Formats: sequence, structure tokens, C-alpha cells
Amino acid sequence: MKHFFSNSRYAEVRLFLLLVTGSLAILVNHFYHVTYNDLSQWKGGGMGMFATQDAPGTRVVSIMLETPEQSFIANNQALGRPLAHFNAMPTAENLLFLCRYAANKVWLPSGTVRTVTLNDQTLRSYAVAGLSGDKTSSHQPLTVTDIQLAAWKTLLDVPTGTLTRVPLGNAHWNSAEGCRVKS
Amino acid sequence: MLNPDAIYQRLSTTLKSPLLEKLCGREQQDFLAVVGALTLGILIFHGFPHVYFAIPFQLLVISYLVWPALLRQGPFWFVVFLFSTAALWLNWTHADNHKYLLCYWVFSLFLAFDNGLDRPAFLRRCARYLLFFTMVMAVVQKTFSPDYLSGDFFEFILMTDSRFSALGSLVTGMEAELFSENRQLYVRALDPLLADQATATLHSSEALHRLALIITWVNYIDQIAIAIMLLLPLSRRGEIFKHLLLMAFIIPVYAVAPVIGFGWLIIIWGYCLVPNEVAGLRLGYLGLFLLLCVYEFPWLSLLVYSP
Repeated sequence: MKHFFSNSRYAEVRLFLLLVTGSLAILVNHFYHVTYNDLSQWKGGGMGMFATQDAPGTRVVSIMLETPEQSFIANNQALGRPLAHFNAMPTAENLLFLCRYAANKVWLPSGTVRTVTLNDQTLRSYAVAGLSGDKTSSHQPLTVTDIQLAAWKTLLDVPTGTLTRVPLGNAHWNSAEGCRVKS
Repeated sequence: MLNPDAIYQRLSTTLKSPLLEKLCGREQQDFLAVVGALTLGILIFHGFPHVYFAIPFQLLVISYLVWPALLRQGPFWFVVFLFSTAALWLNWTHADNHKYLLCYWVFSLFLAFDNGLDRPAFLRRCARYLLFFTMVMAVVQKTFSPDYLSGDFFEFILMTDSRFSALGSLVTGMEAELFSENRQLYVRALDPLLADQATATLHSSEALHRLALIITWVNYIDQIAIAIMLLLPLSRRGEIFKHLLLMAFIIPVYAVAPVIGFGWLIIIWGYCLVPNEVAGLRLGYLGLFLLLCVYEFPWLSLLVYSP
């Protein structure tokens, strides 16, 4: 063994083994998190792209903010990396982190969004809250008293063509109790 | 009828054009220059989308423009590796899988250029390992996936992914409007504002299911075949066949799913793996490198109207 590490004849093999060890360590980490923490096969270094429909894009988090006056739906894009982290690996711990992250932000009114419901074609309108970086946000901070996070993944049952929502967990924040997660 | 000996003769002959001869990389310095430049191309156009990588890398590219010999310096690749790793570390859960492969390859370049070893031979060994690793792991993931081997995954992709809809419509004759409707229904099912609403049923057909099964199994078997051929000691005919197989994988896969950074990386590995005796084959890989640029254009939508 000592000969292997000191002899220059094996220099190339030693360097090559560095690459192999590094890549295998990341692979083991990937499979561990795929197995135990619902890490998407598409992510984390395991060459699992185009292997399953359960990609981070199928995972959705809805965040509702309550103020004394009205409810707001949070602009998810404002949550950046913590949201992407949760969508890739939706554990209770990551949902808790996302909840705390959302609770520590200063939310601002950011207009309204309208959508037509699928079933009865009625028009819905929601007030939207964004962060200070959003171009459409106003400068009047909201007094948020309560935050509700609901997460799910949308999967297609291919033989029947039906879309199903699989719950990933809920979190709730208020100023008295802080964040609590229900998985 | 193709004569393998004539093909071999053709591929092993020194080319008349000095430029093409350089691009073939028969000489060590030409080989390293081409591999370094192609890798730099990936890092510039499809590198790591993180500010920790982007800003220092801009400075490195400017330094390279001032002093092109930097591309053959170990410390240059070490710094690129360092910032690539930082960008990956910070986004490890949501960075694309092929960004990891790019990082491994940059690490290989650092090891090759920082040590007084046979650089082309070392890079060939790394390229063989990484390509084998990629193909085998892709097969493993697909084997254990709950919805791949049944064809369900590709049927889902054909039904909802705009990059595949044109192909689905062209091959199965299903109307492009149905794919468009599928996409709209799918996007609405993902909409948090409609979370309380029942989800819809998407359109498919028997022909689409058959197409999905064909794509599934061709892709799966092709990846197994490439992985096996990378392990076997091959005759010169076998070597040529292996590279044609790899090219046959690249040409259709990236036409439909243009993940260009990934495709370019596989092309570089293929380039490295071509034996010097048939160096002419490397021009094929360089041609594919350019072809993938053409693929970035949504050319399938020229054939089928996709609303």
C-alpha cells in the first residue's frame, strides 16, 4: 500500500482514483436522498434525467398570507433558492426552513392575479404579495398575522390520463407560535 | 456496401487541410487545444448559472483571451473547478445532473494539466470512465424508476412537454391542438390558485403509447450497448462501430431534447475516446458539436404547427 502511494509509476492511477472516489461519493449521497428524502431523481448528481415524471417542476407550494384586512397569495418566485431546494427535496425540514424564510420576509402588496376556474369557468381574483425586489410591489409593507403553506406534487396516471395531486405537507406560521409543519 | 477496411484507411489517412488535421488532434498539443477549447465553450455558453461562478469565470475568460496558453495550465483549471464546485455546493439539490458531470470533467482537466503525465492518455481514461458512469447510472435510474420501463414516462412527456409535442404530432398524426390543450390542462393543474379544483383528463392515443414505448426501449438499449462497448477491448472495426453507436445516440436524443450542455460534454468525451489511428472520426464529433447548435432552434415546430 505504501508503495502504491509513494511510487511515481502509480501517479496517474492515484489521480484517476480521486475522480472515481469523488463521483462515487456524490452518487451515494444522491441515492441516499432519493431513497429517504424524496430527492427528485432528476437532481443531485445521479444521471436520472428523463427517467421519471417526478421532476421538481411537478412539485408546487402554495403560500397564503393573512393580514387583518385580507388574504394574499405570495409570489412564489420571490422565494428563490429555499423554494427550489424544497421542490427538489420536499422534506419536513425543508418545508420548515421555507416557512421560516417566508415568515422573515417583508411582504408588499403586488397587484392582483386573475384566473378562470376549470370546472365552472368562473373568474377568480386574488391579491398578490411580493418582496421588495419585485417590480410590481408597492412600498407599503403588509402586517402579516398568519402564513399557510401547502405543498403537493402533480402526477399523471398515464393509463387513465388523469392528473392527481399527492400532498407533500403543510406548514403554518403565526407570530405567537412561529412555524409548525404537518407532513 | 460499406467496406470497413476502406473506412479505416480513410479515417487514418493524414488530411490535406492543415486546419482539419489540427482539429483531428493527432498531435498531442492539437488534441489538448481542441479539448480545452470545447470545454471552455461549454463553460461559457452552458456553464454554472450562479453568481459565484459567473463573475470569476468572466475574469478567467478575459485572462485567457489575453494569454491563450492559460488553457493548458493546471492552476487555470483548478480555479475553474473551485468556482464550479462552489456553485454546485450552494445549489446541490436543484443543480441539473449534467452540471455535476461538467464539474467532474473540469476536475479531470485540472489533474491532467497540473501533472507531468501523459495528458491525452489520462483524459481518455477519465472520458471513458465518465461516459461509462453516465450511461450505466442512466440505465440504473431508468430500471428502478416507477414509470420508465412501462413507457409511461415518455408518454407523459410526449403529452405535456412542448419540446416533444411536435414529434408526437408528426409521428402519430394526433392534432397539434390536442397537445396544446394537454399542456394548458397540465399547467392549470400546477396552478396554486386552482388547487381546490378537480384536475382534468389529458388526451392520448394508442399510437402515442406505441411511440412512447419505442422511444423508451431504443433509448434504454442504446445506453446499455454504449456502456458495454466502453468496457470491451475492441478491434478497429469495433472501435468505429462504438463511435457510430454513440453518434447514433447523440443525433436523435438532442434533436428532441436539446440539453445542449450535456450533449456537448458527451461529444467531448467521444472526441477523447477516438483512437489516434482513426483520428479522422474526431471530425464527426466536431460536426455534431455544431449540429447541436442548430438543434437549439425549434426546427420540429417548422414541420408541425404547435399553438
